Parts: sequence; structure tokens; C-alpha cells
Amino acid sequence: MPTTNPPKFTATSRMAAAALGAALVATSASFATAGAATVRPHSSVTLELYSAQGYDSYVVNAFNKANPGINVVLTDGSTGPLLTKIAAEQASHSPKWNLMWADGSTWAAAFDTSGWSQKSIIPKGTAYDAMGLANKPADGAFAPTGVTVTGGLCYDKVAVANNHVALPTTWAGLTKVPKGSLGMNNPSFSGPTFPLIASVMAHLGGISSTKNPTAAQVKTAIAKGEAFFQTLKNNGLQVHHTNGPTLGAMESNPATLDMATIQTSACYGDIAGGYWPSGAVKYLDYSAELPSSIAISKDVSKAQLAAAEKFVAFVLSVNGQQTMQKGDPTGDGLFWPVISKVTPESGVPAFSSTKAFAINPYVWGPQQNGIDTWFTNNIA
Amino acid sequence: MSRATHRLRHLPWSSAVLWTVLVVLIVAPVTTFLLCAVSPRLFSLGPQWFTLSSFSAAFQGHTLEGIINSLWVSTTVATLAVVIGTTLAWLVHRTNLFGAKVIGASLWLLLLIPTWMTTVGWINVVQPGELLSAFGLNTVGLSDWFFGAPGVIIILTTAALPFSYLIISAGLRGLGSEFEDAARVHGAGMRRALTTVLPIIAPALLGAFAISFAEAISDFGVAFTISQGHQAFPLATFTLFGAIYQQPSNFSVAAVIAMVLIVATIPPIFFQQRLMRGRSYAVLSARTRPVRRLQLRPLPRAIVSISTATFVALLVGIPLSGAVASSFTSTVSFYTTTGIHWTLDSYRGVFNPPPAYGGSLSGPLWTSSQLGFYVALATLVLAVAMARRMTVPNPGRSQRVADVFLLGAVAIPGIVLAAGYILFFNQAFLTHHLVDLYETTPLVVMGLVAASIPGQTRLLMAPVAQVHAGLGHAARVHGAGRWRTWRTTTLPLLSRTLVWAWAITFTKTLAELAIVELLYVPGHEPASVQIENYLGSVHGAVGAAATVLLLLEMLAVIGLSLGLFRVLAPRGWRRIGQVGAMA
Repeated sequence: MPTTNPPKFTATSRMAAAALGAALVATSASFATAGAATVRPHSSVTLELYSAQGYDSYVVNAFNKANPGINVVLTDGSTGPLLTKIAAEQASHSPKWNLMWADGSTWAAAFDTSGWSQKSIIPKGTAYDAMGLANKPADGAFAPTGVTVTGGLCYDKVAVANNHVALPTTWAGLTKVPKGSLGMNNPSFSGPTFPLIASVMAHLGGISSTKNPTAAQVKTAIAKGEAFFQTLKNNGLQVHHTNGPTLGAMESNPATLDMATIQTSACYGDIAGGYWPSGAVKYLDYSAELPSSIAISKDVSKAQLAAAEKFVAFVLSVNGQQTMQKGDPTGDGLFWPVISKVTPESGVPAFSSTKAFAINPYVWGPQQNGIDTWFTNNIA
Repeated sequence: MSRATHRLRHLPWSSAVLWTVLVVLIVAPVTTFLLCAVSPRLFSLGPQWFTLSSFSAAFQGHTLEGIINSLWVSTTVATLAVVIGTTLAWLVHRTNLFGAKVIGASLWLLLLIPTWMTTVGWINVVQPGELLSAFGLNTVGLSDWFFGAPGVIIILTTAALPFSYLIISAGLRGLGSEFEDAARVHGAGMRRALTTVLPIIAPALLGAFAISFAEAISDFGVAFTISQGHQAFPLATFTLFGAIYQQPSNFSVAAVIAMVLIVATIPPIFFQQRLMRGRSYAVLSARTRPVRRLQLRPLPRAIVSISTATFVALLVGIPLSGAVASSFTSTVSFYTTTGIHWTLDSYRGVFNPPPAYGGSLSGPLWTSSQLGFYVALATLVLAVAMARRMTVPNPGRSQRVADVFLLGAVAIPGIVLAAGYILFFNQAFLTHHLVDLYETTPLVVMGLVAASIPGQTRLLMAPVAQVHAGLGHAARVHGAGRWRTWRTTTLPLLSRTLVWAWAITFTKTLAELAIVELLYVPGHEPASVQIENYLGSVHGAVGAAATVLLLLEMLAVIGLSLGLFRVLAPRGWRRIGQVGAMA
């Protein structure tokens, strides 16, 4: 029955309320100051690093420890959300990002052509090896920091033996594998998949990374690539979002995939981590180089630019590359270093065995939206 | 008194303040985002100051297919949610069903679980190599069937059902059994009595339909997780997501899709307003009598109880068992070619993660908990104020606009809100001359409050509407001021409901992903972002363990809130504070 009498609070409830209130005030004070203290300290240069690398937090901790005057604050996430964040910041005419670090170089080339990033950020004297040099842009608008390979063939040895599947030796041979046995990722969700599709198209169209193709040549290459993927689709190609579900489909019991063409470092990670003892990797007649890249925002202060260049220099040093390897030893750390005198982690084969080649991100980057949309509409 | 002073004195200040808050929290950021559809140059997205080209791009191919799918799926989901919700509410509140309290609590549990968690749980059960495979079942066919329209409808109905159930329960609880009795006295059978009584709770039924529709059409978790497996079943939210996350982001097409989602919620709300125009549905007053339950005979009672319990157990149990089972392995699939590898490594990994994941989950959990506390508090204040305005006996144009606005706001996907927050609050003219809120805790809280207000207001409208205005009038006649009137009549009646509303907002904030992913303060990663990072990697089992721990924290918060209510609230409040109480 409703009443209008004043409520009767007991002495216990008053004491409990007072204790709760005091606790909340204390919590509020710490919460209100927490973000500001981390993001904007007064005594050092603060850099906001947006990164999708598995080893990023480990590298940032090592760098901050070695450089007390610089405070790199990490925003860790997947490539898609981070690029969206940056696009929204740029659209609001007040970018907050200072450094962006992720797999691929097409996004970095797009930053360059949009005028969002600094040029000439690669320190003089950087001891790039052949892979680093192959992926280094002429204007130095981004720095390749490592290379992985996408488009190798990951497969389950037990499933392949049980199903009497003869593994192909060429990409063309993938069109003849048993129906429904092959899988790959969707480029709309999986960052490394667009470079793979672009590499197939470049290979079929005869466009090397150093060539400046005409629009007609690119169009022809895309048409040949679309026809190839359509053939795979007609043969039961299964498309999952990302490496995780694709690997899961091969590692499950019963396996719904015998083999998949994905980023091989993910396969090495599962095998090295003991998650997939019957897993193996085979390289076909070619595969795609997938450099990881780092770029610096054009809207940084002088002090931030100097600090950001120092961070890039650290990443491109022997110590920096080894720190990256240690930061994610069963995942992203399984890359081929781009700096001389740094060797890959054990379990990673010689780069020459992958027969990987680089694509020109300035040629293929602008094609990404069209190709991704076509793939989602017709293949996924 | 001058005319100007007179006008100033009679300005509806409370209304103005409330609308100002809503404009800042929701209208301005969302409008800014929607402007991308027609004026790309405003945001350096293209050369045109005004163009409609994004509309033609959005209404073709895959995108158009997604819009059409979203419309029919959401209508189906809303209908199912109302039918099932009404049946469950009637069984729980108006019959002598065994375990009625457990059924109510289970539906609360469903409300706490975000759709991405439910979906991941279902995947952990039906996908080949997951839980069912371990029982020797070949789930390839089931999985193909499930990862299309059927799975989307099942999971979205599961997600919408608690909203529907709670709103209809609140309507039924305020409805004394005298209405049914009156119908029966006049010779009506059971069915006729029900058809007589149900229109009395028409606001609850229509409200349940509208919110279920809006929740379904704006849901992102299911669309992202299920509908784009190897069998494509596009939904508008997925194509919107694709447009935002493609490189470079296509905010213009995404804005058109967002417009469609928001506009699609208008027909249900207009239908509701048209049906309710000029009628009063206030049923709770000082004279409201306790409800008399229908006494089912032993056999029907047992059959109905077992059927209901099985149905609810499946809804809650399947996704939970999938997540729990996966959390006790460390492999990508639950059932591998070398069997099941039971281990506690995933739980150890949560607090001692691989170096790639920086720190343990405890830091992100603390951040999420703090966010949840403030978001729940702010949402409660605003949602109660909104619900009171929305439920005045003779609603004017302002209420009708607010009604459409609130439902439209439910249909705004979190990702649109988050992108809109960056586009608006990070504008150079604001950050350089007024206030720089981007990448600060207050902005994250604002974004999460903006996402919570529409749903919470809808949930609170039914209980608030049931508090008869006569109670307040009586208090005022006896000399009580406005605040005292509210404190001594409405607050005690709604106290338990308000505690539940606070707790539910808190727990939903803990698991929110779309907004915090884009807005979180660098260095202060919330738990949901860290869990998503795990789930998308080979450390999926660690993600499953972290999901289970997050669920446990949600339950602990609910338990603590109710416990504190028991300790702190006056005995009278505990006795009468049941209006619309949601358990």
C-alpha cells in the first residue's frame, strides 16, 4: 500500500550509506585523474601510438624505459577500428594520433597521398636488408618494420592424409583441389587478405612492384583475378572472417577445411604454441609479402616529431627488432626482420622458400574498396 | 512584472535542461555523422558541399539486400519476442507455475548478456569442432543452417525477449485480477477473458514490440559474428560496419544506412501513438489490489512448468555452456583432432597473459567497473526524468517528439554514435576554443550514457506510468513540495525498480564494445576491448575464460546491488518498492 510517510532509516543503514559514500568519493577522485595523468604528463613529450601489432605493448614498455623524456601512450586495437578512428579524427580536422603501426602498407600509402602523414621518416643509415628495401617508399612516408607472408598454404597433415588429398604445387592448382576443401579470409575483415588478393591480381596481370602500370593494365589484372577467385568459389571455396575462424575450421574435429591460404605467421603461431600439432605450411609457386608499416602524423609538434622519429629509429634498430620478436613469440613476433644482422625466430623458414613478392601499395591501395566490395558481394 | 520577465518565469526550465542534455549527448553527434551522407566536403570526405550520390550507392546490391533483410528479420523478431514475452509473463505472474522466480531471474540473466557474447556462445556449441562435436554429432549441416537467417532470428529473439518480458510483466503486475474476474463474471471463457484484458496493457505490448524491433534492427553483435560466415546473410548493421571499417572509411554510405535504421523505427511508434490517442492506461493507484493467480491443476501445472523451464534453460544454457566449456581448453577449437585438452591455462592466462597482451584483465575490469558506475548513475537520473515526461496523462507535441526520438535513438548502432562523437566533439572549433573532451573519461561516459538512456527510459516508462497521479496530488494537497512529493510517493514505490535499472545499466556497460572500442582513453583499455582482442586471435580460449569472469562480475554486481538495497533501504521501501520490479 503506498504511503507518504517519511522513510525510516535505521542506524545501520545510515552507517553503511556513509561508508559507501566515502568509498565512492575516493574512487571518483582516483578515476577522474587517472586518464589525464597517463595521457598528458607535463614533464615529458607524449606520443599517441595507435597500433594493431601483437608485440606493441612490449615494445612501448621497452622504449619508454630507455627514454624517460618520452611517454609513448598506446591505443591497442584491430587495424579496422584504428583506421576508422584516424579517418574520423582527420574528418573532424583535429587529429590526435601521432604514430600508426599495423600490418600492410596500402593504408600507409593512402595516408601519404591524403597528406595525413610526414615524409622522410626513415632514419639515415638504417640498415635495411633486401626485404626492407623492396618495401621502402621512395618518399619515406612510412617505414617498413618487418615482413610476414600471406598466401602460403596452411593445411592439416592428418586431414589431408585421411582424405587422400594431393596438395597442389601452384596457385593454378588450387582450382583443382577437392570441392569445399580450401578456405581463405574475407578482406573486409582480415587486414592481410587484401594484399594477398592484390598480389594474385598483380601476378596474373604481370605487374611488378617497380612497374608503373596504366589504368587499363590494372583493370585487366583485376578482371583476371576476379575470374580466378570466381573459379575457386565455384569449386567450393569457404570464406571466414579472419585467421582465427579459418584456423579453427582446420583444427576442429571434424575439420571442415583441409587447407587454407592465409597469413603463414598465424599458422606458425598455432604450430609453435602446440595448439595444432598436425598443422603444416607449404609454399606454392608464389606468395605475397606483407610488410608491417609505421607512419607519423603530419599534425605533430616539433618535439613530438623528434620523439616519434626516435621511436621509429628504435623499431628499426637491431635491439628494436629483437624486442618485437620477444613481445609476441608465438604470434606477430614470427616475422622476417627487415634489418641486417637480425635473424628470424626458430621455426620460421628461409624467406627465399616462400617465393614471396612485394606489390606497389600506391597502385593497389586505391583499388582496395572496389576489390573488397566485389569479393564480399561475389565470393564471401 | 514586465512581459519578458513573465515569459522567463514561465519557461519550462526542466524541459529545456533535459532537451539540452539530450541534444549534446545524442542529437548533435548523430546529426553530425548523418551530415556525412549529404555533405562530404564538410568533413573533407569529398569535393561536394551537397550531394545525394551516397543514397544511390546505399540502395543497391549487397547494401540494399542488407536493408531488406534487416527490416523483415526485425519485424519477425519483435513479433516473436512479444508473443513469447507475453506468454512467459502471464505464466510467471498470473499462474501457480513451479519455479516462476527462477524463470524471471533467468530472463534477467539473458538481459545482462550482450549479443556478441550470446553469439560466441552459440558458435562454441554448434560449429563443427565445438561442444556438440564432442558428443559425436556431425554438426556441419546444423552449422550451415544456423549461420544464416535462422540463427540471426533465434539469437536476436533471445536478446529482445527480456526487454519484452520485463515491459509486459510490469504491465501485468500493475493490473489487478479484478479485470479478468469482471470478464469471467460476465461469462467470458479463458480466451475471451485474456482478449479482454490484454488491450488494457496495450501500452506495454506495443512498447515491447517497438523496443524489440529497434533493438533488433540496430544490433551489431549478431550481424558481425554470424551473418557473415561462409554463408552470407547480410544485415544493414553489417553493411554499415563494412562501410565504416573499409579503407578509406566510407562515412557517407554508412550515414545513409544509419538513417534508414533510425527512420525504420518510426512506423511502430506512430502505430502505438495512434492506438493510444485519447485513452488512459493508468491502473496502479492507492486502491490497487493484490493479484490472484490462476491455480492450474497438478498435471497441467507440471507439464507447463517443465516445458517453460526447458525452453528458458535452452535459451540461457546453450550460449553459457558453450562459453564455459571453451574456457576450460587452450585450443582454437573445443574438440580437436587430438581430442579435448582440458586445462585451467586459459584462466591463468587471463591474469598472467602472453606478453603480447600487455597486462592482466584486472586493470581493464577495474576501468570498466568505474565506467559502469558513473554511466549507470547518470543514466538513471536522466532516464527517470525522461520517463516521467513521457508518461504525463495528456501528452503534448513535446512528448510525442520525445517518444519518436527515443525509439529512433534505440536504433542507432553504437558504432555510429562513437564515430559521431569523434566527428562532433573532436571538431577543431570545439577542441581549440571550448573544451577538448576527446580521449578523456568524461567523453567515454557521455557516449555510454547516450547509448543507455533510450533503452532504460523505455524500460522505466511502464513502471513510472503505473504510479497514479492521484498519489502525488494527494501529497501536494497536504502541503508537500515537489521534491518531497517525489521522495515520499514515487521514490519508495519505484525504489526496487530503480536499483534494478541502475544494476542493469552497470552490467551492460561492462560488456559494451562498439562505443568503447573507438572512444576509450589511451592506456585505459576496458575489459570488453581486451576480450575482443583475445577472441579474434589464437588465444580465443583465454577470451572465453575472460568472458566467463566478466559474466561472474555482472552477477556479483546485481547481487551486491540488491544486498545493499536490503541493508540500506527503509523497511517500508522494501515492502512497497515493487512497482515494475523486474524479477
